[in-house]
Amino acid sequence: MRDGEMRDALVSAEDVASRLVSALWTSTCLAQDAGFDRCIAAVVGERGELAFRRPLTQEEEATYARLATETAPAVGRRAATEAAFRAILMAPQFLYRAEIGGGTPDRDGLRRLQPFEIASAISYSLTGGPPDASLWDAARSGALVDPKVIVAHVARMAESPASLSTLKAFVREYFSYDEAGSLDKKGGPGGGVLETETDLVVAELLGTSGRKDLLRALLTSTLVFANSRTASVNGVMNNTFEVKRFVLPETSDRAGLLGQPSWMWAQSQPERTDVPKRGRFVREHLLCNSLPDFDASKVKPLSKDATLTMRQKLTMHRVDPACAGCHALIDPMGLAMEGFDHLGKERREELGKPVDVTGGLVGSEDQDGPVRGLKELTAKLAASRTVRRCFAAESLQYWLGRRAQGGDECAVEAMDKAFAASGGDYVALLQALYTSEPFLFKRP
Amino acid sequence: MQKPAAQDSVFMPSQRPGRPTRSPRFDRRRFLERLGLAAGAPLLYPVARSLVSEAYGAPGRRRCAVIVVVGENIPVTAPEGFMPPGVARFGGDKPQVETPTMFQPLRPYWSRMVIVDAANTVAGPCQHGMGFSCLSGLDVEGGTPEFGGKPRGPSLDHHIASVIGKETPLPSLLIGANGGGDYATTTFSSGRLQPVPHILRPSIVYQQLLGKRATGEASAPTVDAGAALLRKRVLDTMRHDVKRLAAELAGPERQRLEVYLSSIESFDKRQEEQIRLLQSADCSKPPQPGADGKEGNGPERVALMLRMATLALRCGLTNVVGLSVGHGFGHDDLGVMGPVLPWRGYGGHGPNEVYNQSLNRIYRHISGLLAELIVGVGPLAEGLVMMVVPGTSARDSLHHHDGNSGMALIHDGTGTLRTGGRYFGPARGSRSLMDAYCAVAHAAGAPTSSFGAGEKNRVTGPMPELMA
Repeated sequence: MRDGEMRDALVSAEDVASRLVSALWTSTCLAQDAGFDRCIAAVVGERGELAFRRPLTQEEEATYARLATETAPAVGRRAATEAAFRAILMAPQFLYRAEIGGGTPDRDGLRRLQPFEIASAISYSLTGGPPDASLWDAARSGALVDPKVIVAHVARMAESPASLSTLKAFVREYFSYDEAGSLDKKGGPGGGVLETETDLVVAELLGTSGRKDLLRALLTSTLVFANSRTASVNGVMNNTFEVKRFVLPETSDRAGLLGQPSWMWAQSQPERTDVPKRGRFVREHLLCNSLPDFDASKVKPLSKDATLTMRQKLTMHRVDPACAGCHALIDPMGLAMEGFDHLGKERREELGKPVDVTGGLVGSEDQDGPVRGLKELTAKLAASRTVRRCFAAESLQYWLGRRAQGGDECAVEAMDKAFAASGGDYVALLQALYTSEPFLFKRP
Repeated sequence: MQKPAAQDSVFMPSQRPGRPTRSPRFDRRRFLERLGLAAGAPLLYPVARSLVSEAYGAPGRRRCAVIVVVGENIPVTAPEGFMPPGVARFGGDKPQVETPTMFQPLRPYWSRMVIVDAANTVAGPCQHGMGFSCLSGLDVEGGTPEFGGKPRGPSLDHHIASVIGKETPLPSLLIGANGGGDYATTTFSSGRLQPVPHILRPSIVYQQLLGKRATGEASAPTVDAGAALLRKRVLDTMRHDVKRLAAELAGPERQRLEVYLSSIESFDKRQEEQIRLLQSADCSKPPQPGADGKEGNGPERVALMLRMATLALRCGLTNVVGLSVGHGFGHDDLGVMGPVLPWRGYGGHGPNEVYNQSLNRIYRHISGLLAELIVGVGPLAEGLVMMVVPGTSARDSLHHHDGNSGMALIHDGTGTLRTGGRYFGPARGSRSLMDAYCAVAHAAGAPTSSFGAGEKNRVTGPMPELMA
């Protein structure tokens, strides 16, 4: 840590401590001449637990109170009290969210999280903030060790705006449509505005489908939002600046978040589509299936012949056996999306010839087979158990905030089952996660 | 049921594991900003930032950088000793182990120095332009500097100060002695068309360093005994907390807390040292400009200001010093450095014995001052000193140095760079001087892989041949 950063932290702690003590000075016993020792211990205990998100231990309470009482004769009670809070605000118990667990480790060496640790873990994971009063009470009473109580709190908290915001962020990252804004392209409305419109789609789907068949909705919805700038890319009519909601007709091949112009924009090159990139996304993100390792520096470029369609170029490219292996795993999905250009606009022709959208799903285990166009592809993805399980696995990584590791399989299985049994209720998936062993147990 | 494997026990935004290898799409940092923040966001962010920067250098060390531009041309005239016989200009196949005559005062420190010679700096067609935007690596905009052109990007000192300058009362101290007004506003810049003039007079430097104390309106800082007591007690308590929590952890989590603890302790130690220094006579009484208002000739002004800068570095008033000396990429009367030298008049474009002797004296003078600075800053800070002698790659045959720009002489007190008197001469045009700048920035604690990129220079990141 550099001096400047340490100084920033200390100055911030001083500022917060000063404001806090100002507020406490007249509303508590601190200003009274008598009984400062007892008073400071009580105030430190009461306010310290908000900072540490758990009650202070006796030792902690005594340490901070002693800091104040021992320095008060030299610097005055108020400055001494501020110093005690400054120490609290620089303590690792405040700066870090600890998950250490308690009790005796079980035979596998794992310790169960303590109720206040569970409360913080659930709350920060779901809402990005500290536990609310109800969760706090459940932790204090010890009730949070009961999975049924955890399930009830998760159901309650999942309805909050903060929780919905977290869920939106997850969908954004999961589908990676938020990369559109960082790509400049000639023509088109700009990736940033397309991202915003997809955000509106996601918000509506989470609002209407969050508790029902969420994954299917994300993969197959025919909803788009557009204004005059983005109408042509979306394939709708809107001559106003106002962003309006549209449900696409059956004749459109656009479906789900993969069909959103923002996603197509993000998964294309600046001036052309990118079949392998689109296919690779499906394979890695939706099927949780990695490509074999390859040396990117040895990848041969596609033909630059401007008279060839992308499909023709890839066909030539795959003649080389060194290339064919990987492309066979990703190109079929990408080729089914060739009905959308690099801006995300639906197209019927490429280089004056009808676009061939023949493709397939490869690597799903249960839904593999040929498809024609994006809609058929996303329908297969939505019906795939592999995709659903992958969604559960990715959710576990996201909400736990760590990479998957050995021992997580049972939790993923439980999440997947709960998600399926509930008819695609995302809250059920989270409830299964928050009562799973990877969530509740830690190795000391 | 299979139990989960080991998992993290304490969470801080920058310290969680990287992205999952199987599906590397989640931006873990963004996720953790949301997930891991406690109520003390204002506190947590600086701490988190430091834990990222920790990867770039040992924690707790105070770094400082002195960037010097000397616009008196080595490139055209190649003075005595700059190119000893037998040393290959290109290819770096024979190290230059001897100190060039012109840098002789730096001889005791040669083992920690390196010359980067013949690196490209391409910045537009103007002959002298590179002399004035040489610290940005970008061409000047709006004409040549002589006619009001302005830098097109931030200079290296500003890049470094944006990181390590935040720690001190003055983000950087920019001083110089130049032959013309325009030159005083083109060497340093905070961004495109944002030149930052440097101070030309020692009396102004004196005032800037001491503020009201310089005019007697305020006294030297004193230690508040009460504040010192509180600071000590708070830090003691923090130490205690960290140790107690670390005892419950193992492996990486414990190490994280230990890094935090060592930062606390290091900060505490240096805070004490800084207070002691600021109280010392040495720091409260820097070298003063002449009482009669006369501040000496060019060489004397440079010496006085550099001694003040040394004190500022030593006493923690700043971590970054920029010094600009000379007449741009000059070959005329040697600018403000000229009055005490034998040469008068136009230096021309080719070797001239008297002119070269004068140049040697200038470089010896500046080398002596830099040697003083290296000693003066001492062990309180790990210093990095770079002297750039700019040139141009305009390819007009008169203002370049073997088809390249000038050279950089680097003293590395951080142990980050590969030094040892080695003469480094890459193949013609194979490297940009900006790569050396990236290496210097890295060593100074402000890592970058793209400094000066975006125009004609090919920037690939810290010059690998320079990295230890």
